[in-house]
Amino acid sequence: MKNFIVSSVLLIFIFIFSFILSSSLTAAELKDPWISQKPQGKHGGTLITTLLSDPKTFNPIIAAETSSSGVVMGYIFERLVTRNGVTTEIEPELAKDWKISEDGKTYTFYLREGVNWSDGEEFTADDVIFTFDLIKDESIPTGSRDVMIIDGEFPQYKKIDKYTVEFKLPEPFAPFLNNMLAPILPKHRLYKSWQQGKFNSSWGINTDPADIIGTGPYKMVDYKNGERIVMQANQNYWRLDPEGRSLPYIKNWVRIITGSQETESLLFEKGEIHLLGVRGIDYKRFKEKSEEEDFDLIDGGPTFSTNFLVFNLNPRNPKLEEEPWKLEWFSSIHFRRAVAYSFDKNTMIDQALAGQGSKQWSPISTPNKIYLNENVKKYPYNLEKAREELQKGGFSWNDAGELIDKNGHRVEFNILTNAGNDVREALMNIISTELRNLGMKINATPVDFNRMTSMLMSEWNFDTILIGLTGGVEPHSGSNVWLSHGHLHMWNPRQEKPATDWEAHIDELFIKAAQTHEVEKRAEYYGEFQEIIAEKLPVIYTVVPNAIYAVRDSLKNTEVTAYGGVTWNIYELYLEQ
Amino acid sequence: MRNYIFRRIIITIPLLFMISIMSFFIMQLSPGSYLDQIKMNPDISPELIETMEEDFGLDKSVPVQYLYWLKELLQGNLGESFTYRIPVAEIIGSRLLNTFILSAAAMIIAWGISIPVGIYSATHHYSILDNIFTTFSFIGLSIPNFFFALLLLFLIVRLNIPLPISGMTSIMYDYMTPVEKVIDIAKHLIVPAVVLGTASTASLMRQMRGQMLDVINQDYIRTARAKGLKERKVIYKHALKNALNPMITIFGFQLSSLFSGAALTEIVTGWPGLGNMMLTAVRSKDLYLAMAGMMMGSLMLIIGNLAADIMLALNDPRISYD
Repeated sequence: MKNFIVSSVLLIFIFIFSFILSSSLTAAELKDPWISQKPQGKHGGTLITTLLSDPKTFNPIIAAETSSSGVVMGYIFERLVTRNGVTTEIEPELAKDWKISEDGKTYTFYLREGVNWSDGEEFTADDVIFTFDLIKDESIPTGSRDVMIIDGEFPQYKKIDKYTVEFKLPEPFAPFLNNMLAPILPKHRLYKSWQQGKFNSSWGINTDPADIIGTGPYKMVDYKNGERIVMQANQNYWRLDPEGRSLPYIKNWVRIITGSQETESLLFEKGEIHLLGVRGIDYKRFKEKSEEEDFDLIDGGPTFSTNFLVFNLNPRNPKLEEEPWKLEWFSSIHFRRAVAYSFDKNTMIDQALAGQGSKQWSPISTPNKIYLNENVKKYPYNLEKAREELQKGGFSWNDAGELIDKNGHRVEFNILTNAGNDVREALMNIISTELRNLGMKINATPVDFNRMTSMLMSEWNFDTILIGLTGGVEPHSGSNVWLSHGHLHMWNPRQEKPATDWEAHIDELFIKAAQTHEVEKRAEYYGEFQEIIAEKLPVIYTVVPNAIYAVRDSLKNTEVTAYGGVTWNIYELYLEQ
Repeated sequence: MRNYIFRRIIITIPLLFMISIMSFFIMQLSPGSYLDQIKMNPDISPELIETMEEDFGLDKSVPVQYLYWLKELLQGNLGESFTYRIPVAEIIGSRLLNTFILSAAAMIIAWGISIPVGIYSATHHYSILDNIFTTFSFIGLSIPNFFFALLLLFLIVRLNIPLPISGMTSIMYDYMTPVEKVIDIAKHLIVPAVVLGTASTASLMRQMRGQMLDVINQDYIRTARAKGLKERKVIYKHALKNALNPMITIFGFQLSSLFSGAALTEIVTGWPGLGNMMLTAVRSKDLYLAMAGMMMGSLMLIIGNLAADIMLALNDPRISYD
C-alpha cells in the first residue's frame, strides 16, 4: 500500500513536471516549420567575412544605402516574403502563405505561427501593422514608402487576427509582392520611441547591440566602430535542420570592416577570411592559387548592375542656346545607331572587366531570367555599319577626316562619367577611341559624382554621360527611369506629356504590366518595352561584370549566384571543422 | 608672459568665428548637397527628397543655415549627422581616442627617429651613415603614404610575418587581459604608425640636421670646445638647445594634427579613426559632422601654435613677449 502511494505520488510529480517542461519548450511551437533540404551539417564554428564600408545605421527602414542595409537585411531582420537566391522567385519567409483576390486588389498574408523575436517575444500581426505604420509615416524618410504608393494612395491594411494581415489596394498592382520585401520590426521594442517622435534616430550605430531585436538567424553581439560587427546565432530562430534542431549551423559570425578591396584580397590570401568577392583584375592570380590551396573560385554569372551611355535629348538643356546643333545630332536615330555600332564590347570585357563579363543589349538586367528578352535588336561592333548610319543621317567627312554634320559643324561633344570608378573610366576611354575613329572629336572627362548627379538631375547641361544603375528582379522598380514623367528618365526627365510616340507607348506598357498578375503577360509587356529601347536607343548599354567569389572548401552547403552572393542562405551553411 | 597668453586666448574667439564662416561658406560653394547621393536612388521620390531637405534645413539660404548652426553650437549642441542621424558629438567621440593613439604613435616614431639621427648626421657630416640616412629620408619623402602602407601589408602577407594587416584590435580583444590588450593594439599600430611616422621623419630629420649644422659652425661652439668642454656637453647642452627653436615651432604645428587623422592610411590599414570619416563627411557635404571636424582641427591648430610659442619662450631666454 505504502509502495503504491509513493509510486503514484512520484508518477503524478513526474507527470506534472514533464507537463510544465514540455509546455515551456512548446511555448511558441512552430505550426509550419521550415526544414532545410540541404544535407545535415555540423553545428558550431565561427564564420569570418568582410564588409567594404561601415554601416551608417542599424535601422533598416531609415537606411539609405547598401552599406547599412546589407549588414542587417536577411540576417537580423526578415520580411513577409523573400526572393530565392538562385531562382530569384518570391518565397515565403515570415508569411507562410498568401492569397490574392480575383480582382487583384486584396492581398491576405497568413503569418507563420510560433516565430519568436530574438528576445523571446512572439512575432504576430501587430508587428506587421506597426511596421507599415512606420513606412506610411511621412515624417520618417524611407525609400519603402514611395514604392508602396499606387495611384496616389498608400494601400489600406488591417489586422484580421493574430496571424493574418490584409492589404487593400486601390487598383490591381502586380509589383505589390515586391514591396513585401520590407523588413518587419518589433513593435514591443520601437513603439515607444515612435510615439515620442524619436524613430529616426533609433537603432543608430550608437545603440547597444543587445537592443537590436529581429526574427532573423543572427543577432548582433558587438559593434566596434569602424572595425567589425560580431553576430551570434539567434537561439529562437524558426528555420530547422533535417534533424529538427534550430538553425543556423554557424554559431558565430564576425564581419570585418576593411575599407578597401586590396585589404580584403590580402586578408583572404593570409587565410583570415572565408570568402571574397574577387575583382576582375585579381581573377588570374586567384585562379592559379585555387588549384593548390584550400578554396574554390565560383563564377556566379553576370550581376544585376548595368553600365550605359545616355544622350541628352532634353529640349530644356540650357546649353542649347549656344550649341543647338548638338540636340539635332543626338535626336537623329541614325546618329545614335552609329554610336551603338561603334561599341566594341569584346574589348570592353577584356580591358575593363579583365575578361570576366558579358555583353548587355537590354534595359532588363542580364541575370533576370523571368523578364529578360533576348531577342532585342543587337548592334555587334562594326565601324562600317556605323559609317553607313552616319551617312544616312546626313553626316559626312571633310578632307581632314573629321566628321561634320549637314551644316558643316564639326561633330564634337563631351562624355562624362564618375571619377574613381575604374570600370566606367575604362569603358569611357574605349568608347571615345572608337568614336574618334569615326572622325568625332570627343572630350572624355571623369567628374565628381555629386557634380555629375547635379548635371543629370537638375541642371540638364551635359552632352552624354556614362553611368550605371543597379537593377532588380521586379522591372516596375525602374519606373522612375522609364516613365516619361519620371525624375530619373535620364535623357529627358520629368516630361509633362510624352515627347515621342514611343515614350508614350512605354508609359502604357508599364501601366498595363503593373495591373496584371499573370507573369507571362507581364513578360510580354516588358519584352516589348525592351525591344523599343533597343530600337530607339535613348541609352546604349555596354557590358556587365560577372560576380566571382572565392570560397573556402570548409564552407559547405553554399549555392553561389550573382543575385544572392554566398550568404543568401546563411542559415543552412556550415563549417567543416 | 601671462598677459601674452591671455591676449592670445582672447584672440582665439574671433579667429575661430572667422574660420567657421569661411569653412561653412566654402563647403556650400560646390554644387549639390548631401541629398545628391540619395537622388540617384530610383526608390526615392522627389517629394521625399523635399521632405528631407526641410528636415536637414537645406531648403534655407546658406547664411540662415550658418546662423542656425551657430545658435546650436553656442548652446553646446554640435548637431546631428545627416549620414548617421545621431549626434555629431557621439560620432566623433567614438573615434577620437583611436585617432589620438595613432597620431601620438606616429609622432613618437617620427621625433624619436629624426632628432637623434639628425644630430648624428650633423656631427658626422657626410659620413657613410649620414649618406644612408639622407637617402632613406628622400625615399620616405617621395613615397605616397597609401602606397607605402599597401606595400607593407603586401610584404607582411608574402613573407608570412605574424602581424595583423587590418583594424585596431583582434577578434579576441574583449577576452584579453589588460596587458594583452595593450600589446594587441601595439601590434595593429605598427603598420599605420610606421607609415605615418616615416612620412614626417624624412623632413624632420633634414630640418634637424640643417639646424644643427648651422649652429655647430658658430663661434661660441668653437669657444666651448676650446675651453675644453666635453664634446657631449658641447653638442647637447649648447648646440642642441639653440638648434631646437625651429623644431619647437614645427612640433606645435604637428600637435594640431593629433586629432585630424590621416584618411588614406586609415582606409588602407582599416584603422577606425577620424580621418576617413571626416573626408567622407566633407565630400558628401554632411554639414554638421564636417563643421565639427573642421572646428576641432582649427582649435587644435591654434592651441598647438600657442603651446609652441610658450615652449619657445621657455627654451630661449632671449625671447620675450612682453
